[in-house]
Amino acid sequence: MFKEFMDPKFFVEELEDINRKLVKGAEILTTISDVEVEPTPKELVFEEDKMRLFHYLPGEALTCPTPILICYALVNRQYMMDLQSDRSLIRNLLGQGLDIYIIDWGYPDHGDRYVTMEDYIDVYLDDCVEVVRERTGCDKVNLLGVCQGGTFTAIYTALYPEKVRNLITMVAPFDFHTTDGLLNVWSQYMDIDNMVDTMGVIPGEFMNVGFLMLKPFQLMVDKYVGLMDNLDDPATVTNFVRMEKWIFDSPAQAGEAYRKFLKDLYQDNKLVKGELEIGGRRVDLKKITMPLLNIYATEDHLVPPASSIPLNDLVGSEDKTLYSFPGGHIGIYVSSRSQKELAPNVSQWLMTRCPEGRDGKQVCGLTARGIEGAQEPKMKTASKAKKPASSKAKKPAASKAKKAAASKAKKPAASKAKKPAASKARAAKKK
Amino acid sequence: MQEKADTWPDMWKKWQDTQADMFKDWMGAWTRMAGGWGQGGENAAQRSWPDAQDFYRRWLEYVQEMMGKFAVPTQGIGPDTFMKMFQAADIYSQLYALWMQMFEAYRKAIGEGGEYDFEAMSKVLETWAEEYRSIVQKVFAPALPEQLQWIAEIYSGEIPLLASGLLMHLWAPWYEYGRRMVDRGMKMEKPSPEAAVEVYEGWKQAYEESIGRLLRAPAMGYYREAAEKLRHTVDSLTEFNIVLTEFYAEIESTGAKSFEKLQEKLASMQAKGKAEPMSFRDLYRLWWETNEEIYIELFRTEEFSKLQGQLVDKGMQFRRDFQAYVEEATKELPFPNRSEMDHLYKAVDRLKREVRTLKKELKTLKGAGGEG
Repeated sequence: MFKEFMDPKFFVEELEDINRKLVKGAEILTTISDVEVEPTPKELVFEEDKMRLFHYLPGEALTCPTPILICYALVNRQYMMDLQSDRSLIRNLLGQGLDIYIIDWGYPDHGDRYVTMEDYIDVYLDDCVEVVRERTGCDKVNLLGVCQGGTFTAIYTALYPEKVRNLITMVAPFDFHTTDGLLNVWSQYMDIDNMVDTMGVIPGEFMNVGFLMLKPFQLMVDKYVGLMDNLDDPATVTNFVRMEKWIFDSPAQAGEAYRKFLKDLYQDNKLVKGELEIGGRRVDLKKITMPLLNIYATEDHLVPPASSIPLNDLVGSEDKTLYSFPGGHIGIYVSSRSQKELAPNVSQWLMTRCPEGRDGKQVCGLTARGIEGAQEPKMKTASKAKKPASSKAKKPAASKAKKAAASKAKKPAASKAKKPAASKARAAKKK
Repeated sequence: MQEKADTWPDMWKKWQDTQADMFKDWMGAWTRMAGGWGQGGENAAQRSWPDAQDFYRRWLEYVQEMMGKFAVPTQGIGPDTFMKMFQAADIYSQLYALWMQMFEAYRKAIGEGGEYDFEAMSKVLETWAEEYRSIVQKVFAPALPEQLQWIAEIYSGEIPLLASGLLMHLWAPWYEYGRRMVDRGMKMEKPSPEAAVEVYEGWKQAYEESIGRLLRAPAMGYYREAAEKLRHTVDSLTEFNIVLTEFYAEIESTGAKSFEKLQEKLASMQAKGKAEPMSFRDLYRLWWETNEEIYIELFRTEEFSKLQGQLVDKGMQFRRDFQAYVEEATKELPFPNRSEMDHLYKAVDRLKREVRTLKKELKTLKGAGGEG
């Protein structure tokens, strides 16, 4: 039955190929000393406890003077967005003329076990927003939240809408009661208090076990077998090692913040129910009224589309776009498709909502060169994307979001926007 | 002087006779012992060792007699010391005989058909404890003032019997477990996840009925706290391992399901006429994709999620108990432990918040002052 047994020539060729790759691979692996990440130059502009705020050195003349502040998840490191020079969403966004700041949450240790979600949102994130506002002179910033950072930025924006011009969320969870994601299912049976009371901070390694179990054979077996096939290619091996570094460079989770995130969101789904409280204030997503770009990945196994999509129905914004990106949770930053499409689409979307800088006028103390005839980006909306695998029938939010996306898709995706009013009018028309 | 002159030849003769008898005894004992053990079977020890004990007893009597004759005066440090030495030697000899009896009885109890006769062993123990009591009394009683003679009574009577009974109760579940495992081996049972769980369940039962009972009993004495915490740690580790076994059993049984599914797929391919040779690579791909599919199916079930939740809970319990034990056991060492550090972290956290609030208030006040 096996070709190797029935066709000796094929067998010998296969064997020879494997041996050649192994020898070459051994040579490559023994000459790689370490891999570099975060190649894009940046400067430290603010730090507080373990959190640090960096500003990327702009390479191009600004097209939009409103700075963009990126808030990454507490899980894993923010340099996924700037993994290597030819796979860098940051570099691509900079190339589009955006002014970018990014938060590095650092590595919590046992001293951080009492750091709360309120600290992350009301203190660290808000302080970063204040620093950016102060440095740029802009009264509002563009917020880009990634994964858990997307949840944080949505919560922040609902609490401080006056400080946010545009909100972009990428592969971020909002509806936690979908059964599409295993994390959502498993978390219902975890005694979070027991975990936090015992461990204080939740080790990154502990989290990684859970992530690996989401796709055990792909992530623990096939990934490495796949590497064998490319062991003779130095670039592939280096990229692989770089990705490995990122995957297992996992910070611990501050205990109290973890407790609230898991109990209030994963277990009780309080955000979509409108019951979440931060620092004694109820988080009302309807207070998000500025333009929203909600990006999800169709094949996301960590944050299933059914968890991201509902945000568009929960916010008060009239101008809201649901962007469906074909790929997985990580591929959205590093795939070649992402390099070609994501950054241009995101910056285009921002350009059309950043009117002040488009005419080369001085805004916030900066002169933006603007983009001549900026247009709505041509991006795939949810209706064109593959449907989420399954979601609870009981979840009206998700199904509503799908309907909204479907109705949106019937309209032309792109149109000229010369002033903000036009943009708003267009959004209203879409609805 | 005359008396002494007569004594020496007698003594010399007696010594020679004793040596000859002892040598004969010794040779006889060794011959019988070698034969007895070689033949094995019931009463092998009884057939041989009593002779060896005779030999020892004869030597002891002879030495005592000799020493008695030389002991002038018959009281004082020297004679008393010798007397105690020989009494001790005698007790040693009796204890030895007693343990041999016990050993033989025990061997008999478990030797016949592999059945552990609890009743028979209990009877043996009663007799054994009675003899033990008299021996211990010989040791302690003379050393104690009359008012405290009851102590020897206590330690030679009920307590050894109770202790032996307890040991038997602790040993019985393990014996039963071992017997069941041997039966399994004899039946050549196929290894399976269910069998693994059953084996572990048996182990758990034996543990619960024996060591588990001991571990859960309250500790006493100087090292009480650490011992208590260590016991909790061992207990929670065992409980963790029990759930871990169930977890692995689920994983393994799903592996078996995956294999069946893979076979089905291959059979289906053949049935559809796609039986052309496939490469290892194709088969490998089919293998891991099938596994992924079946495992994700398992992971989606409520049962698995609950089991995983239990596993984490038991793991946390063990971690908590272990930390408590380590902290107790190392509290005298010159470094702070986790709990102490947590206390400090809490204090620092509170202070940080206070500073932050005060800074904010100060800023507001300064702003208000500036405006004013």
